[in-house]
Amino acid sequence: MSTANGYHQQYLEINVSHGTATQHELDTAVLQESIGGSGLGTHLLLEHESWKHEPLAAEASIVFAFSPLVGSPLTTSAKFAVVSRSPLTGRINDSLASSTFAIAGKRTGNDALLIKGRAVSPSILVIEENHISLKPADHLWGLPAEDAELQLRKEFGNNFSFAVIGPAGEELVRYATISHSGRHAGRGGSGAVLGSKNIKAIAVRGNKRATWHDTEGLIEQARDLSQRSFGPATEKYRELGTAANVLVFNRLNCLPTRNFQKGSFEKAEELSPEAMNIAREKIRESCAACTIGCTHVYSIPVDGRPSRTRIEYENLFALGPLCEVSDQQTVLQASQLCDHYGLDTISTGGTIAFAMECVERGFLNESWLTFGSGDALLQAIHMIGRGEGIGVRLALGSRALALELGNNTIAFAPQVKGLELPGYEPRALQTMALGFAVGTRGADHNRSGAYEVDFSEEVDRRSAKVHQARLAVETEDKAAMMDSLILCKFLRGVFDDYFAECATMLNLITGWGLKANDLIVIAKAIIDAKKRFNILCGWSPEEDTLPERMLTSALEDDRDARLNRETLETLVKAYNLERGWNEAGFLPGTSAGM
Amino acid sequence: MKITIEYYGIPRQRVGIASELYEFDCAEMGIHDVIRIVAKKHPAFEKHCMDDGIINKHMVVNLNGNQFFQSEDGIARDGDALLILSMDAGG
Repeated sequence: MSTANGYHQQYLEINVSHGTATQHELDTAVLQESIGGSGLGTHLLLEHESWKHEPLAAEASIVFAFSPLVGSPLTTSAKFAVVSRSPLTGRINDSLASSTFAIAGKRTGNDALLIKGRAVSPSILVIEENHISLKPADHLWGLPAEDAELQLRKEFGNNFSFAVIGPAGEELVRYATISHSGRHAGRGGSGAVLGSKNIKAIAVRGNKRATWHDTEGLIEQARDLSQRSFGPATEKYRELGTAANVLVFNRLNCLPTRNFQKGSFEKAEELSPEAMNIAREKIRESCAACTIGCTHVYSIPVDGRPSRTRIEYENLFALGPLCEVSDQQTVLQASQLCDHYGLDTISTGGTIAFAMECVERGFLNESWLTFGSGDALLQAIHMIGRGEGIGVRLALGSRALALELGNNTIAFAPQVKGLELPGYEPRALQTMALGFAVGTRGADHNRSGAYEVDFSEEVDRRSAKVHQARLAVETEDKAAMMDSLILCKFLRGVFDDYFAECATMLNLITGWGLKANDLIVIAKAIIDAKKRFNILCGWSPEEDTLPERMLTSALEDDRDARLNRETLETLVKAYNLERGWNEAGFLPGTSAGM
Repeated sequence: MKITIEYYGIPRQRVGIASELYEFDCAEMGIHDVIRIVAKKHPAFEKHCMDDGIINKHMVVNLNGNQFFQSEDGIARDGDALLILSMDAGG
């Protein structure tokens, strides 16, 4: 086996049932085909035949995949991917986060950590290079991730980094997160997968560093990238954060409101960062090894006690307009509660908003759970996090709740493949509608950046045409590469020639001499691999669609925002052919029921 | 004719207001020409949001909540609203 700069060329397979660890080699060819992060995690899930197991079964695998850029001086590179079969969707899930866990995890001398099995009791999985041990976590069980991490830091010291689940992960909430220094691998329920293994926390440390092909060139490249990261391409994120979307989306009728019945919220101004910046103290923070600093943390006194919470557009949209809650304090508190329990804010808000509509229509007998009620929102989050009352049913997500309730409530459950839609109204952003429909992990704005097409002069965002399928594919390819290298998507605006510059960075680290076109081919292969995994899980073409209401009704407040089933099906077919799959979406050599 | 300019995101930060009304002695005008007049009035906007007389690649203009314009030009008419916003929508 040849050695590869940027990698350790091995991963650690850990079985927490037996407390054993086995090191496996990774061929250079595998690394060149999967790069790292999402790509590598998907490769390992396929290799370990994870599609055969239910997501929360002991035999199921969860992979923490690092990347060649981790540990380098390149800004925003301290990221990792958590990849598993999702308990929310039953399909592939890759959620990413930034923290020192990425750096410390890679310094264990492994490019990935693959965890199987189920510990006999709540445990902390300790990984020191290739040595693993399981320590009791009974004293941490029930604690919010932040408190548990503070306790772990006292017990283990600052040389370790941690990945921790909150109470929601312990309760197997299907959209529980894994927290790392306050950041979350958020979507798809990876926290429940870890919880099902009785693992409250993973502690990692090590001293092994990967080598770089051209250190001098890499440092120069990193300096240049950092410089550009201070420029106008990231201004929005630095000054206002992602929450800057609130007023823009509201004006364009693409701010999902009242469980996707409307595209604008009359009290959106109250929830904008422009208003919050006047009303509240705010500090700005950065992820590990990041020069952008997009994290805006607002003060939020609760019961007279000072506290703070990090705000993103997705938190605000899902816990505000989607539930028709406009009170700033309540929405910030709801966001803080999601962090407290370790809940994905998008799925939390989406599921609660769906339940609110079910109550309104008489399909769910919880009369207190009404649109616009901040108290109901907070109570519902508590009940989900604690596994109490209706919270037990809400913890399964909007699709499972709809299937239980019947009465065709599935028509307005805001999900694709079980994953709740993020804050981009598909009828008003129809390239994004396609991106949501075909996404391998479900409705998702991080694996498809198709909204960028909708916000450009290239298309009419409310009247999709077939050529937009190609544009959607291009944004997905870019995201697949970024999630495998891994770099933060907020950097994308600084690149003039995205794939060429990614190739340059990768080559400085690995010496592989790849060209832009090579990376495009690899990105497509990574998306193929995810699709292959889904097909093996039982994916069928009928899954690549949107909730029925979005295909039969215009937005209440924008009658031009209308999408019909035939148009979406035409787009999906065009997308499949553009990917080199058959019209139905099967890869060459695959079929239903494989 | 009267044109309303609405500012969002970074453009609003630079200009310091949410919107303003412009009056012109003509029936229609190129969108880029309108933006250049806005830029002259707001030097901070011109400095941060313009490049060679048109909005830079990190900004985009939208006409009445419908069509976007960036490198291409369009026509603004009486009663129109031009929305100036940051290009990136990710979050």
